[in-house]
Amino acid sequence: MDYELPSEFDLIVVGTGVIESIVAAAASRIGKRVLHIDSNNYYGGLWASFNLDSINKLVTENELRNELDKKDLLKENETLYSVGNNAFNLKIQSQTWNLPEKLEEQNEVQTETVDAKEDVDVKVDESWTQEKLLKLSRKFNIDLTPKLHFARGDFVELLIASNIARYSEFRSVSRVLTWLNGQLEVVPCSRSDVFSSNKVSVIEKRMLMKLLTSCVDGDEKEFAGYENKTFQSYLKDRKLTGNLIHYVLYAIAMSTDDTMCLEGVKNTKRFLGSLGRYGKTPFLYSMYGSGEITQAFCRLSAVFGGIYALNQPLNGFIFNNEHTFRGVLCGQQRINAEHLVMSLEKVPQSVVDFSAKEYISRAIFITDRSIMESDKEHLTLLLFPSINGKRTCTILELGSLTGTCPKDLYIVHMFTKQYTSPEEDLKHCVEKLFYKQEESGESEIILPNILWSFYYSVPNTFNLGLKCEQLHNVYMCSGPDMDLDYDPAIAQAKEIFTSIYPDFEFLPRAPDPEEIIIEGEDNNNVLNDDNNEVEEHSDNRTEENLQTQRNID
Amino acid sequence: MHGRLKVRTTEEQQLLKRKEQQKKLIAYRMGMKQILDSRKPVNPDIYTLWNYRKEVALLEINSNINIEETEKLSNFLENELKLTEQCLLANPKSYSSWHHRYWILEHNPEANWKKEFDLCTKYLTMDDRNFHCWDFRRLVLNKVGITLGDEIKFSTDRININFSNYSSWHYRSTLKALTEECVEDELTIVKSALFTDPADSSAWFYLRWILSDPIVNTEHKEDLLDNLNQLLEIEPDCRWILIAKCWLIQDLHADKSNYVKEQIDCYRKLEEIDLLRKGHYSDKLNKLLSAN
Repeated sequence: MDYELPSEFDLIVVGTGVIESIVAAAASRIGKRVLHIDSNNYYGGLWASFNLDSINKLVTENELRNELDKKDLLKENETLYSVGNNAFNLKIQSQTWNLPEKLEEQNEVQTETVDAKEDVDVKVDESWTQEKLLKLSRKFNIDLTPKLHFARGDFVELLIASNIARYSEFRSVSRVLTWLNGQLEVVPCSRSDVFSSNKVSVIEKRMLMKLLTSCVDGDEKEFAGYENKTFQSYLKDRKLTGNLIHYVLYAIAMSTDDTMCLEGVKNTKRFLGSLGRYGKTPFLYSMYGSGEITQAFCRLSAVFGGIYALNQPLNGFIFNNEHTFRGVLCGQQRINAEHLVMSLEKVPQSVVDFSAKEYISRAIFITDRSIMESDKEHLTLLLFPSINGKRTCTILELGSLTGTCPKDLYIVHMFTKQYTSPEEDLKHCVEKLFYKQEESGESEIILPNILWSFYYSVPNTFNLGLKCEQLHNVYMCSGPDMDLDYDPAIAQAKEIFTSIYPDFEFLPRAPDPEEIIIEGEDNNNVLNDDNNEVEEHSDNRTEENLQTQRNID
Repeated sequence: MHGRLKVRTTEEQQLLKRKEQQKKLIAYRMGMKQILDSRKPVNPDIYTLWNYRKEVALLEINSNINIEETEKLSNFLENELKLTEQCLLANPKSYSSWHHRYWILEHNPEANWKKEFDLCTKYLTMDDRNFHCWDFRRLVLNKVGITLGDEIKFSTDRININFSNYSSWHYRSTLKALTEECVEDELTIVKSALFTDPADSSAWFYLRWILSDPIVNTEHKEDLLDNLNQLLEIEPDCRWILIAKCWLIQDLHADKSNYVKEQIDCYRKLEEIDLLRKGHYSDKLNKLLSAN
């Protein structure tokens, strides 16, 4: 390291996952000195987005450092703890190309006769190669942890309340699908969807509208007697038809046959409450990938004085005799701070006496057409219901309009709770969406081809109840969870923030640029407005400031 | 505290704002002066002025009508269109401005009706609750010769996005007379709206229009009556269903005693649930009772 970081901070945050970044932003926002470091050379950790080239070269093992020869930097009674463990790593199951490396016929094409060329041209047009895709590598933003945002959910409200929304762009999900009677169906979720859907009869329209209204407006009386019954039984008692129960239970309430009634109602409210704010469905997706989100929070932190350093050789955590955090060893430098917030994979091996109990099975595919072709490009959420004992599965299809893949290609994300292995857990969905069904006679539907696939498992560390009993002033952040949105992550970040700084507001609104006084601007001039001379003077000053600002820019 | 940004107080912000506003005011006054020097003040709703303009325009048109050189006249008319555009920006629902626009276009032998039509589409996509624009579109439609099929599709698209809109339903009713082929489709779409939200009055008006057409036969009506009874089971307190049921019974079975009783029940219920129109229902009820 040929530069020095400042050596005193209030808070050191290690790892740039979503929770860590929110805590860093919140602490900087109230004026704390924050150092935010990551040993990776990219932001986001397990929440990051990658281009095609770098996701192919993804390294999953943590480099465990323990350089105890730096003893001279320690004081008496201080101990150095190693950084990182391998208990919570992402596990890659397989990464497969279903494409030729290069186009082999290419040389032949040039020599062949004109007659033959026509045929080949068509083929060339449609055929992707590894080389072609990798050339477009930077057009890809492939999320390790794709997220959607409820238009009125905690995340969107936090972005608005804290004024972080200006650092990010979103695109609304344009359709919600489900798998019904052996094919994909659009879920009618809004009033106009219900009206225009030709899949539900007029009576069903009324039943559905009535049910949705009663779920939103209904008081406790409406659900009296269902406290110990399933949501499915409630829907059945409301005399809904099979198709309607399917739409409401598996899609709108994102539930299963075993979901309890009140939880189903809560989920339905969450879904419906976010309708009609930003688009046809209740969901938003972050343009250029979910990885942008951590960076938006990091940017806010940096604007408020947070110091950022990626690719940092972190050599150890320093603790005193009472196991209270003192500082970190970063390269050859000792940096002191009062508190330490870190991602789970950075926790010293010796302290990790727990491991992930649950994993999330995930898969990413690059495909050459949409799972449900339409006259315009859609951003699709498919809630695959549980059939024949298989788990429910959440599927997200992103087109080029989201800025995450090149034109004419799609990225499909799939995830579900891990049962056996990613490939095994997701097999039934992959088969139904991408492989021809033997029984169905409909040959007109052209299914998408999988050009590239990536199966991996991520530990679900959210419910581990992370409390560091033996170390003081240390806070651990869990990794990605199963939630569709960031609600659990925000809750955890807020909890960490309030336990460090109990008397401060969590991410109050950040001022807009025009409200900030640029250094050197004398605000007395603004106040003495009635004095004309001063006013003229202050006008000049403003121009000067603009000048300096431009120079900075 | 370190790293804490200095933020202007509201007082400072107001002062700054006032200063900025003063600058803007000066610029605005300058601009307005230029405009006012060249043209009369714009208030789109003084029809006397518009009529006066039309007289002037007629003079201009008549004096140019026999001249080979058409450029002068078309420039003049183009300016008039621009004026109405500005007026409509100020008040999108100004009767006089819409009328003047149409009048000018009609007097222009080279009027670009296609462009007007596309403007309407754009306008209605942004705000479909402006009946002036719907009316204007209907007038333009006759000039452009767009096929009715396309127009029905446009209307269906607008209704699909939001069916609580009298204008779009009404526009649909003006497009073409009902035929045997399309009456089923129209009944389906209106039923969809009724069942999705029976409390929304717009579709009920459209239903009443459909029912007024002799092409809707007894079978259709019986069918509809069944549907309404089904709907009433789910929504017993919706006045529109009861009213529509009475329309149908009156039409189909005016002289059958068991249906008269049903009608009486409907009006009794209506008296209960729709207090604002209680007198109207009582009147209907009395007529029914005295006739039978």
